[in-house]
Amino acid sequence: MSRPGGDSSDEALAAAANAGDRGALEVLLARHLDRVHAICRRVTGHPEDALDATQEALIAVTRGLQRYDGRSRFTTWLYRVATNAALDELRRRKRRPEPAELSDDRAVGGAVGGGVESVVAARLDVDAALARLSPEFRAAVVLRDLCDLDYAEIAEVLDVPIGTVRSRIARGRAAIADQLREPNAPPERPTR
Amino acid sequence: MTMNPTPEHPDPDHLDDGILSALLDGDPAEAGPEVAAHVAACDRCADRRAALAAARAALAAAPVEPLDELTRRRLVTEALRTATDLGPSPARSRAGSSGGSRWARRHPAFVGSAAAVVLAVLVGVPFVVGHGGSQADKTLSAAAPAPDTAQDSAGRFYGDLGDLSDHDRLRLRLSGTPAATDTGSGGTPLAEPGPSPAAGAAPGTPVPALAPVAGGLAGSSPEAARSSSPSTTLGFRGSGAGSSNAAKSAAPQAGPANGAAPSADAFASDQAATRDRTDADACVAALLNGPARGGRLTGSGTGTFRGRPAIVAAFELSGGTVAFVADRAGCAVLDRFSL
Repeated sequence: MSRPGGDSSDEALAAAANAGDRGALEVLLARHLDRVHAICRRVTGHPEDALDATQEALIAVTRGLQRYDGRSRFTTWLYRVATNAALDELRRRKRRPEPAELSDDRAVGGAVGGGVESVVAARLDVDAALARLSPEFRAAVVLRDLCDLDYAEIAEVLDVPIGTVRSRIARGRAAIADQLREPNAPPERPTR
Repeated sequence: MTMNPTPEHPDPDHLDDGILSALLDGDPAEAGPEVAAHVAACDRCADRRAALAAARAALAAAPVEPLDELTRRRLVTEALRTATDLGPSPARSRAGSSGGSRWARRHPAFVGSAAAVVLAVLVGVPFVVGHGGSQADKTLSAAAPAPDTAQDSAGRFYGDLGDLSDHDRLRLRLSGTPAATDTGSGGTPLAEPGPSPAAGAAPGTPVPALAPVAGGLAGSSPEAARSSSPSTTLGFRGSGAGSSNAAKSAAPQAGPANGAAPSADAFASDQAATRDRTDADACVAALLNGPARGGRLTGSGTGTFRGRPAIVAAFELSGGTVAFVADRAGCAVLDRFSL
């Protein structure tokens, strides 16, 4: 399936949008909408919060695009906006995402078993596991494993040192692995 | 190679999760060749590495609920609607430095209304002065319709048109004929806030710096606006006033301007009008991709069709002007007729 905007690079579209090309901006937003929503969904842990955060992120992109200077990848800047929108949404709600209800017949180990798992079970497992992480850990893991950013990019997005990124990803992954294996284990908490 | 004891792995003879995770990510700073060699020879570390890899794979592979097309359109359309300060760089710079407030950008209806009132005063006062007080009524009637007659390539948005099953009444409204006898629920037509992207605004179209929209109050207080929790989000969960971090990372936010305080009802009306317009734009876009392909939008509005929330949009097609009534929730065509 072709992506919106054809072969135009994100950076070229951003430049065109900054020059007043509304069509370029629309293409840019449409192209990355799904990924922005995925970040917001995973970080907030709630479908409706994710929609609100996604809307806020798109508005922030629209209003702040002129501040994107092209020195980093457009997606790095975009993910930063999306992540902050999602974290803001969590703060605004003043609550942690609630773990999704697990099905009774879910196999221990769930989606990590590597076998044939249902889509729903996989989603519930991951939602439940992520929900037990603090937002900062969750964001680091999501940016690494969902968005495939490297440590340096994640450090830029989250505005923390690379060592902190490495630590959060490691501990977040470990917690997810443990949660997926033992859903009732105590939740992980950030220490820095 | 570091063998750090951790609560999870107190045995210093084995690798901790940090190193194993770095190994998964190919991070040479933490996981060099000696780490890989150790994992290859140590069942316990290999098992833990496999568990971390499975967690990573689960997250990467777990699906996120897909957005339906209407929601996608609404999200993008709403974001584009806020792009009132986009445009050629010099103008945008001026807007940024002159403090085009976040509130004003989120509530163009009020700014537009204030601008319309100022325009009416500027046009009307000299006319009244020049022609005497007896002409006041004529002056007002000449100045006030300006927003109603505003029209651009995206067509006029008429707001709430009431019963969308009444073809004769809709013909009067959508054909541009003043419906002098029509005092039903049809609302005052809203001026366009700018080319509608969902309606097919051409790439390269600059976004106006300030787009007048009728339907609000003249003058307003951003403080009051914030206290009433206005939001340009689609109200998926009654979103708050904005995202400080997202805004901080993306755009400077200028301070609000002073003015008179509008009522909460006015804000509710403004938000309802925004939702009406957003839904109409989304369905217009869907129609332009479907039965109205190749057509030119001449007007649109909202209302009800046999009790269902619906939108109506009229298009100039090769065979004449045709109005489509579509379900507001999914844009399915419910009715069509010639104007």
